[in-house]
Amino acid sequence: MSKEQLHGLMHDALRVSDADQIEIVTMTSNSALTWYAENIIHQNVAEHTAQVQVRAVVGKKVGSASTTDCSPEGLVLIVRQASQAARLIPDDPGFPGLPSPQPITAGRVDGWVAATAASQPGERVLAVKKVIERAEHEGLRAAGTYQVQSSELAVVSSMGVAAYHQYTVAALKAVVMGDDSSGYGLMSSADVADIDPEAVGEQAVRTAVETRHPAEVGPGAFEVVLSPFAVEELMGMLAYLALSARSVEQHTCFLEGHEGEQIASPIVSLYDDGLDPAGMPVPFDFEGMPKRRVNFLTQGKGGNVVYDSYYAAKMGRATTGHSLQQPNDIGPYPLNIFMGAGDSSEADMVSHVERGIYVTRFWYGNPVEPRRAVVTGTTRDGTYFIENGRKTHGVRNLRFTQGLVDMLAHTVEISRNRAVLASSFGIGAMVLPSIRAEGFQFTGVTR
Amino acid sequence: MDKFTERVIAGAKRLGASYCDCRLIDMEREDVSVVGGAPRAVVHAHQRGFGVRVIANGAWGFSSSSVVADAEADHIVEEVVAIAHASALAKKKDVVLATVAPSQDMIPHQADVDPFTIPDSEKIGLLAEATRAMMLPGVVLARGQMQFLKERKIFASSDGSYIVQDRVESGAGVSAMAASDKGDVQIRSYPMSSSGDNAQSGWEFVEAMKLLEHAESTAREALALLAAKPCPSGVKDLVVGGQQLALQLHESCGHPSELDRVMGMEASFAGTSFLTPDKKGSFRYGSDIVNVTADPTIPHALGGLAYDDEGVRGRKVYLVRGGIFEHYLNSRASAPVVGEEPMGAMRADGFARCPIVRMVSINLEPGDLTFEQLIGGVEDGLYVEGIKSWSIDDRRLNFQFGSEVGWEIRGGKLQDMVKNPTYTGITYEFWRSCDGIGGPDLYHVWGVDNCGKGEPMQVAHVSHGTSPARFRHVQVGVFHE
Repeated sequence: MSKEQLHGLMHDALRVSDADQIEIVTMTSNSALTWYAENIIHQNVAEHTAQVQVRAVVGKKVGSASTTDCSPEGLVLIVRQASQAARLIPDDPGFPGLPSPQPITAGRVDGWVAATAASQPGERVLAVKKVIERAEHEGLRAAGTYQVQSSELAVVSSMGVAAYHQYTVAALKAVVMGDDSSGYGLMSSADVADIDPEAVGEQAVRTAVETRHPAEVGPGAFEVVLSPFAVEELMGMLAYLALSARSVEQHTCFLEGHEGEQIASPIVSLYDDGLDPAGMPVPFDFEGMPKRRVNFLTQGKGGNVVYDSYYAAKMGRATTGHSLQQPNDIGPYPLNIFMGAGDSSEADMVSHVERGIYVTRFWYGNPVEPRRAVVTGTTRDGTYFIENGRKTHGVRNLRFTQGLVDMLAHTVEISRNRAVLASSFGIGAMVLPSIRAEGFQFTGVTR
Repeated sequence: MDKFTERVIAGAKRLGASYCDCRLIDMEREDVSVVGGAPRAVVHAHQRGFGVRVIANGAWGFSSSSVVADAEADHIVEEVVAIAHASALAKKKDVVLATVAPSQDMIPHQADVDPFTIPDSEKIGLLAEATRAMMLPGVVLARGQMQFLKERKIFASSDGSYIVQDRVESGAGVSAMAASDKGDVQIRSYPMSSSGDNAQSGWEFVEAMKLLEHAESTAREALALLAAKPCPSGVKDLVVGGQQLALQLHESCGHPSELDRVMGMEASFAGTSFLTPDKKGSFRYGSDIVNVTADPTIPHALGGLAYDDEGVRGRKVYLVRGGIFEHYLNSRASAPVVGEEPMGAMRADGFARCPIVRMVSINLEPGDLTFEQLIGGVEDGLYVEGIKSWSIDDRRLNFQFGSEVGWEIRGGKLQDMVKNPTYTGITYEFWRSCDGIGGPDLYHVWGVDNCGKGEPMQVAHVSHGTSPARFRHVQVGVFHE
């Protein structure tokens, strides 16, 4: 559907509402995923979905409804249902009203690549075969996914908001396994032409080969070099625990009351920027509010958190354009996290470690003490021992229990290269470097 | 068979598919969230669509659409057969399905009172009253939520099955978060953390929870945790409460028993499993008293089903019997590989996703001990309850879990409350150390509506029947300074 067609449908539906205010958010998605394991394709799926979410406001009452029926009749029906629902529920005294429109800077944000949207299942299969053949050549077993997605996000409201963005995502992932080791490779981009299956396969295969016959090391505190994949798992936990206004409400935000204070290492800058073309930009949020850059840490000094219109009104701030689909119980969320680049390389970092651990990925992170952002999880898919500046051999996967703020305070080196890692939310991406940190706490060893 | 599913299956056959199934789903959801007495989110959602799965040229294809119309059905059928042919470019051998007798059936839901007939104002009112009752001095956040689902699912297959299943689910819970001036934050939930407890029942299930009656005591326990001492660190005997044991069962028994995971199909996301086929029938998973079932037939259980999304009638199997690993959760394609019959564990998250092997109701059969006997058998230990944190490695061996609350046990008696209790171990070592399980009086089937698996991610509604149980020599109070 074109922007004009979609907005036309949505505006027609707005007109049938008798609520004081009304908002319609439409997300359409065509996605396909080739899923492979044990060197065969075991699932190959596609889905064509639309979701329309409506918020109707009557005084301080907010009713909402959603549907997968994107037809003109479906939109009219759902608008009426939301309006009816609003009249039947109690006031929400804290509801500030729907936000008024703000200018959206969409000029530098172009996330749509026609070739990605048009890619065919046969092309995905051929790419996956390259990964499989590379693994088979080494006597290894490959598993992973190749996903392509083309989506539209449109927001209109009776306040005058009218926003539209279309974007594409392509992502190829490989986990390559041997008898006692595994490796990981991932590449994601808006442009399917950027995906290099040979490179993804090579990275995963090389790691699986190099970490064969793992030794048992630890537990204990070690200097670590973390790949961007490992940093992503930890920053995802931090986003969930501590980078939004909801985390302030929940008293799990380490930034609360520390604005301007030196919290992390001076080489660490962490921010969300939905407009930076280095990531997978989205010019506005699910309320149609423009994305604004939010600095969580600037050269290690405490900054701000992200807001949607509800939390902004509640806390006397302005929205930063970080609303998820409303209403929700998650609160505002940073979908475009960046860590500032350093001036090193991953090889340099390893060379600077006398005795430590290189982590390709973390897995199953979960908070232990949210207030201090202490999380636990395990390593996977390529954990190395580093001795005298060299990755010498694989080690058994380790459990960590680590305060993330402490880790950022003890970060001593950051790579200049950063990886673009598409979000599991289906929109946005993190852009993250490798880091070297001292005193990382490993608290157990797996079998 | 209805005309729509008939058209889909006939179309797939005409294009050369050797097998086709179609699920046509109409689903309503309602989610209500209240914070501190005021509504935070009330969401009514309606989904309608269909998913088509085919085998063509010996390989799988799946596609789905939210447009239920003949022209779209024809388009999706063409696409899904083309996808299957593309899959076949990388096949090593043809997909083979276990034979299942076709079924024609109509399954009613199990609710007494349709929760969608209860006005939003009544639902919000109950949560508002409960959360207001929790707002004692020191409580910084009182939250309540309810969630309801009503679904009609039609399954039709080229094998001749045509099954209509109705399903109603209800769930609710409240939680209180308390904070101290020193930055300590503690939480307690009732009846369970996350979204509370859930079941295939109607509004009567929510009423029976008596949220309001438990609100204040839940909040008082959160406040008491602020003053509690930290969890001691060391190797101790551990009594795990029923809720916490539901998590333990889910992570360390349910997931590793999924045969698709065992066969590597989940390796790129959630990982693999230590329960490899060579262990089937001989591996000592737990002590003699550990009996774990996968049972989709328990009335009202959230993980219950009459037929799965392959049209297989759900039946009870023992995953672990007498401590020995016995059976997998499986599918029509995977069961024959390990010499099993399909048992009804293929489930999809809505119409848009392809069925994968999921938990149903995974249950630890009750023992014969009272709670007092469980505690009385511990000289120096810990009792923990309330799910707070969970993490387990990608083969489901090394786990670390945290609970909302703990109590020291000394001399066979519960003593002081402790905060931030954690425990860690290796799955089979932990279950082998189980020497006491609570009796049927302590048994409850907990409904969990947030089990994630698969790519794209699918969320399944499962359940776990548990009583409290006792484990010896467990590492508690994991160091993390």
